[in-house]
Amino acid sequence: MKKKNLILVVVTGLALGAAGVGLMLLGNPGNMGFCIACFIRDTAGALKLHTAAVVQYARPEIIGLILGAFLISLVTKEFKPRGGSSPLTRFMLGFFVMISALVFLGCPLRMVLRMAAGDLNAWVGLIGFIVGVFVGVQFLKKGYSLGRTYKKNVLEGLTMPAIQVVLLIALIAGGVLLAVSAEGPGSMQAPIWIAFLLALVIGVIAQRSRICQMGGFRDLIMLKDPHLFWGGLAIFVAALIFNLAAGKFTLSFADQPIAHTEWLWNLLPMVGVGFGSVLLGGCPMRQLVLSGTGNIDSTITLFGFLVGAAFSHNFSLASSAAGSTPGGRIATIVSLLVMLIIGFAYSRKSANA
Amino acid sequence: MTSSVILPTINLMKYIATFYTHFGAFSFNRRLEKLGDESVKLIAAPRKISVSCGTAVSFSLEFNPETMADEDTEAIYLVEDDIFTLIYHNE
Repeated sequence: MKKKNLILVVVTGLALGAAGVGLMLLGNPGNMGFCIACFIRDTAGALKLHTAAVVQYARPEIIGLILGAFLISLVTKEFKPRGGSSPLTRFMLGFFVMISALVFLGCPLRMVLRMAAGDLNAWVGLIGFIVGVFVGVQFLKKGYSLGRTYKKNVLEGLTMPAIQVVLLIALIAGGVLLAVSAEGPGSMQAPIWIAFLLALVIGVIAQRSRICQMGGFRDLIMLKDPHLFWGGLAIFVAALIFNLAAGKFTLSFADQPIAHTEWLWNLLPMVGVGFGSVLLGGCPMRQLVLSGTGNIDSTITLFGFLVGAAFSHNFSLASSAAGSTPGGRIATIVSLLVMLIIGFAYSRKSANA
Repeated sequence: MTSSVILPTINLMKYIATFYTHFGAFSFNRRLEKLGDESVKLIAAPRKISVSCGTAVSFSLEFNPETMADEDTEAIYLVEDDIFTLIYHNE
């Protein structure tokens, strides 16, 4: 059974890596074939929660991922509406994880896609991410807990999938309701149906395999269990092979697509993303998948991501190719401080004392 | 470790406990250590049986909800030849 698990995680990773490069070749932005943080940010723009004209598009990849996880969880009877584990704190963690990710310019998924395209800045980000997960694990060992979940009304669990269906309809209907970028990354789009169906399939296998990039490092550090880690490695390997084959691999710090070269502001925000993801119990991609299976806490976290993304662009916290912003640097530090406060506030001494 | 030489109890059952929180897993692990289960250890939750927190505990002392479970404990499974039988569930 262990072997079957491993195969499933690795297959999911390979699919993610291949889709990441493939969707880029089909029109998505550079090294951003598939990115949870960037695409939620684009969706926030499409909903006019922010007005950064270059990053507005309701990404079908996000919709597909959630609906794929939703549909398979119905089939396997793992759709279980549960919630109530410190929702507001989860919202805040989601908010600050997103702000941090947008200072780095990517979630853990895009970080790996960037690494596999030769973007050395992303390797700096990886160091930060691992440090962040390590710090988070220390809090878990100290007895950190946001409290347990309880069963919820089925309607609560259906809310997020329903919102995605509405978004999909609005997206197909064309630019009547939703804003769409005319230029910039938001205007770079893989064909809707290919992106949606590919994400739908990945949502299915991601739910089955429980793939989580934070979980990979967490389990490796905390339990010496590498099986989720192989999934992350598989993303890298698949993306590397596809990038090499497509001539999209360039090893450098400078001139990478939608990336900046300030090492400190690549490192520190990813410490926040890693740390925050441990406190949340899953990386951004895992939160999407869990949300599809009726997890209300993950759904609340997604709203934190969405609002965090809107704040990032409304208050010029997000970086650009030109580099980080003063506000973004302050927000990165504030994010880490808030996470530390939450970490300490929710730690109970009795766990391992 | 001496566990390979001195078996902790005659009970050769294998159980896996799943949890709503990591804290629950750590606390459970520690309680079982105190109860003298030398085989108890934290493991990554088997994919088959849990979508909650990713950490589980495997142990071999006969399961007793009174002394072992708390509100963070989600479920206990008896494991035989890769077959998981649910013996305790806490909604």
